[in-house]
Amino acid sequence: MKKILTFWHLLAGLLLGFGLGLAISWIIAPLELTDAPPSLLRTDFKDGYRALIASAYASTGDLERAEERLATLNDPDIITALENQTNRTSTNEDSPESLETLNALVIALKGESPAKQITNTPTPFYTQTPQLPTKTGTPATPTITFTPEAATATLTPIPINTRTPRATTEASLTPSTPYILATQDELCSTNISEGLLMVYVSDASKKAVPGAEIIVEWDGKEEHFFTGLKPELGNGYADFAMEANKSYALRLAAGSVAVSGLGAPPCQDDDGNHYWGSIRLRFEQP
Amino acid sequence: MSRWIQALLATLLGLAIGLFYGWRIAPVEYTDFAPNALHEDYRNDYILMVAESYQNEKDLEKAAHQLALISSAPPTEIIAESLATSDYAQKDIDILEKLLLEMRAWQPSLSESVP
Repeated sequence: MKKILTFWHLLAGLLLGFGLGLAISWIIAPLELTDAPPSLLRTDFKDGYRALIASAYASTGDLERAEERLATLNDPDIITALENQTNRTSTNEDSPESLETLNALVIALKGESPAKQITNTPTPFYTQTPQLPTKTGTPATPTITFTPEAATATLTPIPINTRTPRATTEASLTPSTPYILATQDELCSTNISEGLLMVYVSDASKKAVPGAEIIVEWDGKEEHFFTGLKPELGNGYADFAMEANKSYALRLAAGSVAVSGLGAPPCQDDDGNHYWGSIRLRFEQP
Repeated sequence: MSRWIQALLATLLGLAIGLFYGWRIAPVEYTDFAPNALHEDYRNDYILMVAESYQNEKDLEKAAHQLALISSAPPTEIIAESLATSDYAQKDIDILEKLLLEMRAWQPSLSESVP
């Protein structure tokens, strides 16, 4: 005890100095971090960062690079983070381009071909809104574009020229078929992206069903896409960009009739220009 | 040595330990950064993303706004500096140079505000 009393002044000095040191290093003159990783960005800046990654991906189509960039944000699940942002973006009425590019990136990350999900096709002959040519003269790469007119038209499509639907083959119902094909239309409208396979899924009470998995097959290939990724067009809505002169078959993963023989219908506008129309399918639970 | 001097030396030692602890071992942890605090590598990648995005969107005002988040310097300076200091692949350099070229020719109107 006597020894402690002898050194109390040293102990007090040490503690006082330590306290002062902490006050200086934590409060008065904390380290200024200028080498932050993207994971430390504020939430709204993270959203902006993700939107920029999606936009850059829409331009380059480099999914690997997009994934590397998303990984720097340290999100527990990058797809969930993107989907959450998509929901926030649609709620906040952010730019539709941002929403579209985010959706396309989500789809690509889920393992589907992004190019197939992009709405406007790059071929000048078919394109309603031709893109600016690049300086090198190479054809513009498929890019994600979104026109509000197209969105409006998709919600309430008004065919300019209607034509008799091409005969399609419907497979027989499987033992468990919760969805039936309620309607199938071919749409010729310059306001809708070309060659779009538009699918609407609703339940027995006519309520839109989000997250319904749709399987499309053609030429031995198969792709899956989901309803609800374009909430601005309805929670039960999904679309797929068809290539010209190809035949597709479509069904719902939950079970439905398989609709085959689907292809972009040839259309003609008022000036006699040819373009590819779209197909609209409505699935419902009986 | 007097007790006061011993106490002073102990205080200085404690101060040194406290500073070392507060600056090196357990420094203040920041969150909620703005993009201007990004590490140089991430800044350069951010600038590249803006250029890639511009290829698709063709919106110089938007690109300028995005670049303004990482620096108060003019957009052309930001791109030029990034080109000079970073080791980009040739295709990325082409994309950045294209944006730089178009940004140099761009004159924002008075009504437009670029932060």
